[in-house]
Amino acid sequence: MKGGENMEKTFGERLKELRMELDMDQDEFGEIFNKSKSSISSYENNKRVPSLELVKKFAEYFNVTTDYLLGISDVRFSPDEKIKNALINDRELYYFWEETVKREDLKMLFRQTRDLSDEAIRSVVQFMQMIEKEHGGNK
Amino acid sequence: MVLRDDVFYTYEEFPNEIWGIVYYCTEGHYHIGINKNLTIEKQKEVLQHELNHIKNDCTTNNYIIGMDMQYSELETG
Repeated sequence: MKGGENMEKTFGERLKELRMELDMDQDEFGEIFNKSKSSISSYENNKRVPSLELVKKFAEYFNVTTDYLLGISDVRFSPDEKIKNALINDRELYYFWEETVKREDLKMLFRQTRDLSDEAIRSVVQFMQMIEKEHGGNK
Repeated sequence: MVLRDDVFYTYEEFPNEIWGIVYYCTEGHYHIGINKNLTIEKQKEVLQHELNHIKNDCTTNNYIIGMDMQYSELETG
């Protein structure tokens, strides 16, 4: 699955790494997705490639981006996760974000927050919260 | 400040990496936040650019205005 010059890890290496972080053996992990131990082993050894659907399911399970799992990117967390991590010490802002994230029109914002610092993310969400308090419907 | 019935703008203390934000609130108004640390010329430029963007694209997406006016919609993937 190697596909880029800057890629540091293969899909198989990432899969194994994430599975081991959860202290699961190949059997246990395979059971969750209805796959045999040998299938998981062949994925981890880059001998076989799972379907895109399965890659997405793996990524969701590990709560990482598919790009991270595939070794295309080193950005591990999804934008939503990254934003939540930046807001973890501000309960009010965190809850505001949890409500706001349900809006469909935040997709572009999601893509943009990938590379922002935690400070910048907090500024963005604080701005949104201030607007909603003063003008919006979520008072 | 109000620019038209549904567009407001304010100057905010944003980190340098953010020039501005366009936020479409739940009441259906556009809010442009501009980084107050930018030069006056740059603030005007950002504001004008965003007004044109709102006017022409009628976007209801929220977005961050980064360095050199880059938008993520120009990014791939």
